[in-house]
Amino acid sequence: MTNPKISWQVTMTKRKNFLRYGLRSAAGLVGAAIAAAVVGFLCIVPLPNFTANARSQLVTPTPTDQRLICPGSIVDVLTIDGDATSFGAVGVPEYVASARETAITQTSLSAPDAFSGDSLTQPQQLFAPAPTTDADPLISGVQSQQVATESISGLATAACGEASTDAWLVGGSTQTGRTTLLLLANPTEVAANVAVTVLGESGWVSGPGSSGIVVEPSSQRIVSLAALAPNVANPVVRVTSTGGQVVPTLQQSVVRTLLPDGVELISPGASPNLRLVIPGIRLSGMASEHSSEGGIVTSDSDPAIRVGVPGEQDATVTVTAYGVSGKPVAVKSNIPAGSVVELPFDSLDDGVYTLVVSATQPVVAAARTINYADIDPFTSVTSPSTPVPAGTSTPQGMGESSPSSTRAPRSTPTGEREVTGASRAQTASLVDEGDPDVDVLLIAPGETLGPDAFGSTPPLVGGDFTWNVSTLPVLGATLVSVSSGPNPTLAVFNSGKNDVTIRLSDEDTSLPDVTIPAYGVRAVPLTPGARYVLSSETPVHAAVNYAGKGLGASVPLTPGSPLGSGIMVFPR
Amino acid sequence: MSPKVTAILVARAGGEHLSQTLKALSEQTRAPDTLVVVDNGSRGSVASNLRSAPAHKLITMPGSVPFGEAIEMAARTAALERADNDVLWFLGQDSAPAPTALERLLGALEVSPSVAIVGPKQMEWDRPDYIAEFGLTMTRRGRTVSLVSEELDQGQHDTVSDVLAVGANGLLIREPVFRLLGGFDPGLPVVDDALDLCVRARLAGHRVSVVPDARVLTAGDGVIGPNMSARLRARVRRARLTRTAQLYRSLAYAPGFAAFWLWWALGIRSVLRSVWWLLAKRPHEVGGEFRSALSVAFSLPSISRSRSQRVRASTTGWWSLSALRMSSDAVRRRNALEREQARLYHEGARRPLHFFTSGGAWTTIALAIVSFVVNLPLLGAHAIGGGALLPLSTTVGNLWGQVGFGWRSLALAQLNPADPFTWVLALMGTVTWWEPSFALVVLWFVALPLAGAGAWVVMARLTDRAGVRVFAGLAYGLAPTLLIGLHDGRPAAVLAHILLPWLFAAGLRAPRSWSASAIAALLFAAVVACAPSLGLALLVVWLGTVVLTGRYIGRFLAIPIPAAVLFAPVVLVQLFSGNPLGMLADPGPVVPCSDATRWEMALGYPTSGLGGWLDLTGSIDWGINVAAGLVVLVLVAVVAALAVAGLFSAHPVRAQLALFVALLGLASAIATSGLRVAFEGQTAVALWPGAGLSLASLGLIVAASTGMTVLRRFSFYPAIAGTVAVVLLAVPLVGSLLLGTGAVAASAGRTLPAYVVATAATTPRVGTLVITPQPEGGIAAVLVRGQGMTLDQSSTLINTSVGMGEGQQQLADLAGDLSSTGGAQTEPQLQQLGIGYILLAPSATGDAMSATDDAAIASSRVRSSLDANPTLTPIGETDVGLLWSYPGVTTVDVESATPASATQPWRTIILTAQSLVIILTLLVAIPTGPPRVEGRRRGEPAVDHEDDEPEDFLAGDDDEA
Repeated sequence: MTNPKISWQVTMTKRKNFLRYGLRSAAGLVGAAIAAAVVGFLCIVPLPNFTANARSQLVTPTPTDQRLICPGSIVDVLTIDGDATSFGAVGVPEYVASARETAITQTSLSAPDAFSGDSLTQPQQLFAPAPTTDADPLISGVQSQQVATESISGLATAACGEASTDAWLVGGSTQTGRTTLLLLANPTEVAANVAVTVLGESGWVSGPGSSGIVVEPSSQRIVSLAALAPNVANPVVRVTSTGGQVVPTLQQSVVRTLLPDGVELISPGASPNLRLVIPGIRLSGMASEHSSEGGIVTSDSDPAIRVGVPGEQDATVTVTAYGVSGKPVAVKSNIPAGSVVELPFDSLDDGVYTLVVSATQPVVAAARTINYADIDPFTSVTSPSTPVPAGTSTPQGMGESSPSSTRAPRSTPTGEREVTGASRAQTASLVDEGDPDVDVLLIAPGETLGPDAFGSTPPLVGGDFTWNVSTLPVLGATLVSVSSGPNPTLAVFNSGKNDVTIRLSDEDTSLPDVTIPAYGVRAVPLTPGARYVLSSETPVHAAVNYAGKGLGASVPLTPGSPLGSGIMVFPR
Repeated sequence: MSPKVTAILVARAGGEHLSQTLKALSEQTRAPDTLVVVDNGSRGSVASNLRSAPAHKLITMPGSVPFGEAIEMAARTAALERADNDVLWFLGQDSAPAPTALERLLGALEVSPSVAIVGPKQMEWDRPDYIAEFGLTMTRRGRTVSLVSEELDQGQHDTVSDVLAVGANGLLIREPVFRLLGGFDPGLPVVDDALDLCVRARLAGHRVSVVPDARVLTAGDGVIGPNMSARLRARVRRARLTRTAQLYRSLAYAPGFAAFWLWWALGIRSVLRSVWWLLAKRPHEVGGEFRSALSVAFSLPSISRSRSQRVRASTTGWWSLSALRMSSDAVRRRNALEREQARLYHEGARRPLHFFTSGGAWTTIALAIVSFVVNLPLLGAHAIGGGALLPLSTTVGNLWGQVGFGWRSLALAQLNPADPFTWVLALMGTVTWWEPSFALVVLWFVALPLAGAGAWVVMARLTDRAGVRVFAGLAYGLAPTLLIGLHDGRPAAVLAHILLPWLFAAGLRAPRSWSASAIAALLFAAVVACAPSLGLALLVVWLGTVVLTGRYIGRFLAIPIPAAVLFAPVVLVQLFSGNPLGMLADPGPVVPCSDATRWEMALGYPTSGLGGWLDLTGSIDWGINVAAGLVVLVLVAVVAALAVAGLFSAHPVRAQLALFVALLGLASAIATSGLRVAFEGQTAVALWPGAGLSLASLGLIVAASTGMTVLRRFSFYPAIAGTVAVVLLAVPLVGSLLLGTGAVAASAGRTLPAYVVATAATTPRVGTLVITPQPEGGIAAVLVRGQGMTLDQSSTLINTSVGMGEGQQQLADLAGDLSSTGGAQTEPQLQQLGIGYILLAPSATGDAMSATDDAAIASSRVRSSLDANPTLTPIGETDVGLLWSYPGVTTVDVESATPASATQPWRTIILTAQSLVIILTLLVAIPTGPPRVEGRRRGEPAVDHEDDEPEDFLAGDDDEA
């Protein structure tokens, strides 16, 4: 029995509470709605923003002299007499140079380490004086040489490059049967004190005499890499110099079971970087490639991507291959600090590719491709329908000041032994060691070269290999000098996110513009011995490669002397 | 023969008090023979009162004059037929005497002829059984002390008779003595007039006594003596008048030689006493202190007149008074009693936080352990680098040298004011004075626990529930914006995040104490110094507080002042250079961040990638990324839901305000992220949105904590849910800190190669031109002097400047020429700028693939060009880039171009102003015990403790169910 008065009070209290909670709930709902609306407003509605412009100034320097150094002819080891090793030049390379808005003077550097009877076997310096007008001079040069001796055979080309104080060369091998020589040309007027450090598959190698190599002014020294770092399968060579600057080049030749199996001149690539681009590699014979072990290439008769991690932290490396068509293929690998490994080209068909190496730590990289003696690289891919018409079909002199700067190779040096296809095959069949695949491939007759092959081409002996180095992108106008060689092809890679239109022109005529989509690769066939100008508004990576049956070489396009162009400076 | 009594009643206004007084006068058992009423500027209202109780004489003064002058005037008019036994009785409008008052006073005069002045027992008007005043004395140092005040009259003082002095109210004086003494001293118009009169009477050989049986009420209307109202204005005025009177008397009473020195010391004494007032949390007395000193210093004629007046009448020396003055022991006793009373009074306002028993210690320790573990790689480091972490200057002296104004080493001969952040850095570096850069290492270790403890303290001011407090501490200590700040190496952002809750904790206490208010002001300045972009949001919060606070507004008004003074030089320079948005730039070097989208910011992440959640799967699979995003969304939603629940809790206003602050923080973050005003090379970098998100997370956490209390006793469960959510959210970030994938790493404490640092040790002004290839193929050129860039040398003025000055032009030309093998001669330029080294730093990272290509081209170009430069010697690869040296450098030109003396006037002005404000605020901030109880005077109700509580929405939870 409740007291009615109390129950009335309770009802009143309840009513009050109800009212209070009701009000509070309403206020809460309104508050929550407002909060949600404000968050939505902030997320969706564009708010005013402001971006200030950094102060900048375009500084246009006065143009200056330009010098390019071509490494000179291939050399062979003549004798090894204790510490003293003597070298001899093998043949004379062909030099093709081109210049715009200037004239080139070609001179030879002395090469005291190599015996030779011809100044053209020595390193060549291409010199263009500073223009006196507003001209924007460009020069470029390339050398090419095909040899076939009992110890060296194959095609070797090299771009003529600028001297530097620090260069990274990826390539070579100092295992048995592989000869790797380091050619150091010093074009400056002061002696260069050169230090060579080698990073191998198992870390840094420091051999005796690797530092304090003195290269006299205007001369070339030749150092055998085996003396500095013996028995290294995958070396990465760093050349630093003080005093004068040098142009280092690696010459690698392979003798497989007593028979020469390729030669290559290797130019410096890009310095260690988180991202490298190796443009324009041509893969052939990939159908029979199954030789990687645990994701690492162990034989130098297989195509491979050599990646070195010079730093002190392990790197995770992703190599992405962009083809002319088809989807990009990526390979990921962890590489320990201070080591070099060779990664395979897995699941790639024959064709022209560009490799993009991205890594978590700075790396250096280059790609080795193999040119099998019995495989025509153009049977499996679209062969260049018609060679690009050049202004003249034969190479011309580089200018009035150097009327004889371009030459056809002369007769091969004495001691050359011509090996016929038949005897080669015989010899190969006698061998029971080595990679059986390769041996089978070696049983092939020497082939005649392409339409513009050398006049007095030595008979081809075996296969060849090509080192494709990482390049810096080129921008604006770049001169492309094409030497004699089988099927020269310019491969251009657009590393940007937007389409790029490039234009290739020779002396007189302009070829149709080529538009390259983002991350696209385009291959343009060129005429041997011709000279072109490649123009691009945005940076592209490019290389010229030569490939034929058992012959291969690659010449990277390096930024054409950017030092004379204007530069935007942001001072603070 | 009975003496003739002339009662003089001075009135300023008619009304209740006056009519009661007149009524009491008419009821006297011994009526005064003459009643003279002085209308002291009442504009006629007194006359209306007199209609009912007529006086014998009414003197109307033209305006308001001091009490002494009014008495003087009346005495002169009334004394036409004076006799030697005439007496004067001084009354005010509010001095209602008890019916027997005059009879008893006269009786006391009659029994002892040596007594010239008698005073009644003054009682409080509203509480007539309380004694308001009963005799006065002086301390040894000359301060006036009322012998009794605010005591219940139980006859405990009725034995007293002889005193040094009595108050003017109801004072009865023999007319001849009054005439002999020359009346009241016009130099003491309000305070101490009667005291001075009595002292002079005593020196003239008369006695002064109190009459316990005679009672006179007093209401403190301000007719006699100062207005006794408890209002601040009246208090301030009273304090000033008291001080003026004391100074005046000290000059008037001291021997001539001492008086000279006292006059001389007026200024320095007022400065010292002002410092004391600040320490005593009574800053309002400072102004009066100086006014008193000034007015006394310029009243020398009046002082000398009063001195001669006293000497003329004196018959005895000061020694005769010494027994009646208060001994220093008694003064000490009195002060101790006063302090005790104040403590009792303030005890009620104190809320112990229970740091150890309510989860505070555990929260801090847990965060400290997390912090220690994730920072293990930094253990033993002397300095850390990466992100925006640069070393500090190597000595404390150099560190403080950057504060205020000076040459900026990053710029070419540029003088400008320093960022306020340099103050913060200088203070931090001073803590680890042996190696200032080590302070940053310490900061990295203490950041989590300090931030967590701060948020814990904020919540501890609002709730007693341990679970809720722990949630707040952990949630704020593990807030994504703090972890990302640590991960990316942003010392200013980390400091702002740590200081923010402490600012709010001090702000919550500010209504109760000046000390907390001053601490809040300092923290406000520090937070804004660390994150200028947060200034606007904090000002809005401040403005809201000022509007909502009501009666404690005074303690909030001054909070932004130190920040304003610190920022004034930078703000002025930015305004005059037409770059007003530049003043919002984050201090320290400019470091770009991966810009977060707005919804990522709304989830609390200042950079993209949801704090590592998107990378956590290590996969580019889109489906898993969505899942990771959903996980973050759900976890944030838990906290947000709790915050919304707060709107329905018992403290909806608190939740509303907290959510408002959270939204304000988010708005600030989103707005600042759209401002790109500071440059790193060519790139205009967006402001760091993390500071706004710190504010947002604090607001959200407070709202969520409020929401937890909806469940009252069971608030533990939502607290657990919230804590689990915030801990899970932090997992990927803590993990990545643990794995060391962040930008921060132990460093050698230098930003230039060791080779350069070694040279700079002997040639401190040697310049290093740092060239950084830019994403679009340009180069950034920065000239650094000495041992390299330090955190304290960086300046937002330089980071944000857009104009191309002569110096920048010169630098650009030089860098361009050096990067090209042109025919231009670089040697004279290198010599003129004192550049001894050129450093080619690694390329600035752009995100586009082609961008890095352009930078690589620029890098190789610069390198080849520098290699080919015959005047430069290549040194080679260093840990920070490629180095070349210019061996022939001398820094003579530089030293003459940037003389230290040029900094002087501005540096002095800025530093003085800023230090003054900071030191004054610091003085107020130092806690010096409870402030003295003021204002409990008659006419005002005693201040009750409940009123001193802060506003309702900030009050503690009352649901102790």
